[in-house]
Amino acid sequence: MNLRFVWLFLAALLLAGVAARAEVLTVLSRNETGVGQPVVLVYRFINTDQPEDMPDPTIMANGLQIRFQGASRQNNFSFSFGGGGGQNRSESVVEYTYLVTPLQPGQFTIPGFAVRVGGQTVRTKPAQLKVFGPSGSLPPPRPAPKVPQGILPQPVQPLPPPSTQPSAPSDREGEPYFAELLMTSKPVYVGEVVPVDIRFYFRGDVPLSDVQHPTFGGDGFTAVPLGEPQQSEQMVGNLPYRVITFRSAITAVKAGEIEIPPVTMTGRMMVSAVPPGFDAFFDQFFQNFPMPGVGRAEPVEVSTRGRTLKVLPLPKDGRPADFTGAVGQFSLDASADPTAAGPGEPVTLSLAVSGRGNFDAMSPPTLTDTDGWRTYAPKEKFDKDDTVGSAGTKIFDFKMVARSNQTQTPGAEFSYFDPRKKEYVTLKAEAQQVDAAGRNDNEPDADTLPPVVSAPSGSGPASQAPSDDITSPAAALTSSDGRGFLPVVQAPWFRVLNLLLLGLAIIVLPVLLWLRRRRVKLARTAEIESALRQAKSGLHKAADKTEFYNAAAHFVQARLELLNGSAGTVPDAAAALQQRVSDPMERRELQSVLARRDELKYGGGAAGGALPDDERRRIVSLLEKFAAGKY
Amino acid sequence: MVRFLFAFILLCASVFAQAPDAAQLFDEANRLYAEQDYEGARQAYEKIVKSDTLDPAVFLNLGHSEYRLERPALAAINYRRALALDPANGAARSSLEHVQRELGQPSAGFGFADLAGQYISFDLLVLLGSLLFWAGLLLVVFAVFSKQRRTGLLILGILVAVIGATAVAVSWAGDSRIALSQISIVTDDAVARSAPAENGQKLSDLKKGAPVRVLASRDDWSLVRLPVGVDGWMPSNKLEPVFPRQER
Repeated sequence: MNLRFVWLFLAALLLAGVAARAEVLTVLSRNETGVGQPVVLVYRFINTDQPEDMPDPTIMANGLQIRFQGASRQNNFSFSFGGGGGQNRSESVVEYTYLVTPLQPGQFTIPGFAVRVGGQTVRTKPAQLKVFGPSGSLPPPRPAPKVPQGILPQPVQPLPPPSTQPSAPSDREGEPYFAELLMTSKPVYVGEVVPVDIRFYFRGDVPLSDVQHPTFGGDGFTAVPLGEPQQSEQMVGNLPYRVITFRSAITAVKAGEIEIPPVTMTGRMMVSAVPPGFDAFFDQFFQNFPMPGVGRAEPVEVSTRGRTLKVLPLPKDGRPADFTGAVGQFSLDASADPTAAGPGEPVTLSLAVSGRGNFDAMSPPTLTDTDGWRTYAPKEKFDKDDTVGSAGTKIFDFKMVARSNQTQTPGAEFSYFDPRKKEYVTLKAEAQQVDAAGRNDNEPDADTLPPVVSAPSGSGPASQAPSDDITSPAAALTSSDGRGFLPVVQAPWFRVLNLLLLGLAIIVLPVLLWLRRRRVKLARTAEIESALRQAKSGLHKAADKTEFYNAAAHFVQARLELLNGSAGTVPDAAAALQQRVSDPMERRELQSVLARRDELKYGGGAAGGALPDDERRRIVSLLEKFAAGKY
Repeated sequence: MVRFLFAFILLCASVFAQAPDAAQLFDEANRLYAEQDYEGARQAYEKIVKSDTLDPAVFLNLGHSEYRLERPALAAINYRRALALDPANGAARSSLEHVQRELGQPSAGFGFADLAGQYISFDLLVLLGSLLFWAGLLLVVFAVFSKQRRTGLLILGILVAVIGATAVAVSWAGDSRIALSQISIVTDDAVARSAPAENGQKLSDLKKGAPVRVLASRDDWSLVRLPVGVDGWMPSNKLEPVFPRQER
């Protein structure tokens, strides 16, 4: 059901297209203009086949220069409701665009001419153009220029860039997109500016989005960064293409063969995605008329081919002494302002170097016959005539002050290498006539000096007003207060001193720590030995068993702590004896002393009572042996 | 002992003997300058500099001579030297700013550190800071290793050490001589290249007067950090260090 409706719709479109009317229009962007101010002339062929014999690309008519700019094809389709039903209109337009530049004032008629279109001959309409002179005057009408017809038998091709290798984009006809890098294929010289056109072609029916700006550069040459591109339409074979053109220029910096890398532009291309159930026929339909949700964006990458450029070294023979690397074609003009100057007043000698070449690497011309003048380094200004800065005028303003009365300025010389003539050229600028009075040596030359520079704002020593002359010398030696160029913080002696102190700290700190620990240890030892002495005294003074065994236990505890050294107190004396005393008999007897003390201290039934002498002697002897033993 | 004493006396005598010589030479150089013999004046000032007399007035006048001889980049270097020796020298500062502008270089600027440098001797601050740091550290050690607990002394020691370290850090950051000691000035328009050879790829044009940081040297080439942050090679003979090499 749906398919049937679509077929009916398309049939209606085709019928409407067949019924469209064929016509040829001649359109001039303006009917009046001035000399040198171009107007655009368009021949528009509506609903016709492509013309077979359009005029020559460049026509030099009498008083007019007519230059072919390009051809384009468009297919327009519109559909509207009204008048009791749907109305549609299909229109194909082929346009041929020319740029008409008037060379002289007058009234011109660009005549119509016959062109073969689809096997028939049609005639274009003439166009009228009034051209005014510089003063706005219009001379009497003159005979219309003859525009030659049918010089080229085949359809015209786009104009190539000024100097290019053979380029035939027509062999790429049908490709959805492609790119080409147009530049000379002839050898160039080091420093020579080579114009480059980088063109990206996108077929008219290829919708693009997210196009990214390409970059251009490589080794062995400098390149003018790519600026804003020019967009145009162009026929490649029988297909219209959208052309994005970037202008640049490269300058080789070394001799030999240099590689010009490919230039790549990326973007996204909408590709059709026919909904399920639709015939493949609709693929083209959805591509031409993309609908929301129908189609997808795919990334595309368009690259030019890499190129190789042969670079010749600048010849050494005949190289002028003042040659500084300028390569191209130049002219040199000089002017002086003011032409009369009082004592100390500066005169500006402006030297303008005009032409085409590597202005970036251009050094100022050399002044000649400067005797009697004090000259200063020039200020430079460049007015470029093209987008890449390879053509224009560079002005060097030399300020100079007469030392003595002068009637003419210094002259100037400028040397460059002309790659066309393949030889060095030296331009000379004549001295300019001036009336400049010399300065009296006894007077200060404040007028010729640079302007006063104010000190920074704020109070302080620096805010003192500087002298009128920034070059007023200091009259006497001052003092830097011992300050040198080397700050103390970077002085070797300062670093060595601090390193020594640091080393001292690193050495002294552990020593201090060791001493502290030793002191603590000695104090502890003294404390234990004191306890040991007290316990020993207690053994002899004990009146009963309880006191004796208490003293004996304290003795054992103190002795064990002394043996333990800096490890501190001994919480479990019995366990410590197990570790320290290897003789089992001695160990058992010492442990029994501790057990006896505990028994007497905590046992309920045991009473103190007198201690037998033999038991006292035995225990004392045991303890003395324990005190003297090495464990 | 007698020999050492004799040597010491000789040293003192030579030091004191330098001053009148330098003063005479300075007056002579100024006379040549007044007579507009700028080359002669320049040579005389250079002679004073070579005699190890570090005086801001000499560098200021040397800068003026270079300026008169139409060598603004060298003039700027000498103004910088004068300022390094005497940050409060208004004539050197205004002259430097003027020459910088003439060279198309951005002004050297006048920041807080420069302002502070006019009142504070960073060298003195470093010495004081260093002294305080070690004194503070000594107090901390004393407090820690003392037989008695000395918390107040410990805190005071830490505080003094921190103040001392801060003073040293401030001096390090504020003293313009530290940054300038690694800087050289481009004395003539030059091209920075990717390799130390004439056919190296051109990276950037370096205008006369541009300051660059020298990272390394090889033969007659120097690897410099360009103002844009990229490193490139340029001929060493077009570079002049801000501070004379013998001073380092």
